[in-house]
Amino acid sequence: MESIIETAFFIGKGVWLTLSLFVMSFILSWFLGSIMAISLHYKKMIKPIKIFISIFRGTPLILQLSFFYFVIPRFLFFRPSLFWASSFALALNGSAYVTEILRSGLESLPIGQFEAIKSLYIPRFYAWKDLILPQVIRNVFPSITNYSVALIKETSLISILGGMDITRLFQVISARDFTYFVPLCIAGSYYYILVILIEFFSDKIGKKFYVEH
Amino acid sequence: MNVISFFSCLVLFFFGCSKSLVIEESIVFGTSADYPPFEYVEKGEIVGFDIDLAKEIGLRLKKKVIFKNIPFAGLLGAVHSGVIDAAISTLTLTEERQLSSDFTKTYYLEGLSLLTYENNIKKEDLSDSSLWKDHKVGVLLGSSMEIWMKKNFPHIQLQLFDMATQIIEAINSGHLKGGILDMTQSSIFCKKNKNLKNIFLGKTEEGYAIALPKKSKLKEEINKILEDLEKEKFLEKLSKKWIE
Repeated sequence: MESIIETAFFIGKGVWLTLSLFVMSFILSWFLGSIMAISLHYKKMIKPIKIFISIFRGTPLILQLSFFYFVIPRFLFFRPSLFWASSFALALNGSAYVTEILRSGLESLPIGQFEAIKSLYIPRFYAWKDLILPQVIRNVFPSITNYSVALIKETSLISILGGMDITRLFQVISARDFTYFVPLCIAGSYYYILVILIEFFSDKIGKKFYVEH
Repeated sequence: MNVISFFSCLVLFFFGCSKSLVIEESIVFGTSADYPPFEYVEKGEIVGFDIDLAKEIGLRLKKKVIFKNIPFAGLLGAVHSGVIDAAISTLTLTEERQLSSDFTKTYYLEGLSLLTYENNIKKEDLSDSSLWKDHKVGVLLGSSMEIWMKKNFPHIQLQLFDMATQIIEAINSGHLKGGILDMTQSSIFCKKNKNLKNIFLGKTEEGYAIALPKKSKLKEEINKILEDLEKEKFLEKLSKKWIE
């Protein structure tokens, strides 16, 4: 029992890295994804964005992570740390999915909304901020939760590059003591707790957007 | 009635299976055949230093040797559950690991070397902590190199990788100042990457040992065989055959 508590503490040190990586890549991917979705909506830069999405959705994430960590530094004057390299890789990968999520949300809006905005001469910025985006976010909210839950588990891939996240610490302790199943269960429950937290907050926020039909 | 006969068939089937799997006079060795030259697959067969040693042990125990290829992470689990009788797969002996399973005497001491792209680094520089303040050194997770570095140079920050090739990549892209690998692998990598330098550091204090279930009767027998093999210079012959 004592060893289980010690193992839990040891693996728990990785929660911070997992969580900060998740938050960073989540924010970056939504920032990039919404820019691309809006640009697609105005029919600008369609070709490059389509190619970008196709590449980042079509190659394994582990390849993208390795590329950002091992290959990119050779062409730059500075070396991004493991944290930044992997948050950028996760963000670019995620933004490909986010763009598609937002596009589906935008396309589900009735065309009348856009026509009304045009005929009332509402400035573009306010139209997006107050009228279009709130409706889009309400439509895609379940997909946002879905994507965040997937993302927090995808962060475990940085363990392969030596980042000390939950998964890596589980591997370290399992290699040190030659025990496998107990640390794996503990690491799994940490992820589950994080996922439950995400679900809890998304329920809270989701209620704000909820409109009775 | 049908149900009963079905279940009795099932029971007979499984018991029949387990009977046929466990032949009285055999010993099942588990190994993770992905670490040449100690154990690897060549032409569909597992070969290597450890495999020859296990065969010799089997011969002296007068038992038939059966090998099972199991991933490294699951190897000790297989020993606990009794799927295999022993694990021989370059397992480094440490005190913490002895808590969960029994180990025999060590049969091989690994040579260590530092791979680095810097020309003016010497072996003595490892103990100079100011030199390694902002630099990391790559090692393989759970390897004897990691244990050795933590014991002897705790001031050096380590980054833990799964594959030796990743360490080389990280050195080449400038994330690491160096990497600690075993001699056999590092000399191969040095030949392929001309900019890297190979510095011999010494032998580990903890060697490779065979893992057995707790309170295994085989432990003393195998220990005795290993002592005999060392006296007969069989182990020396093996390392000449596979490593040098």
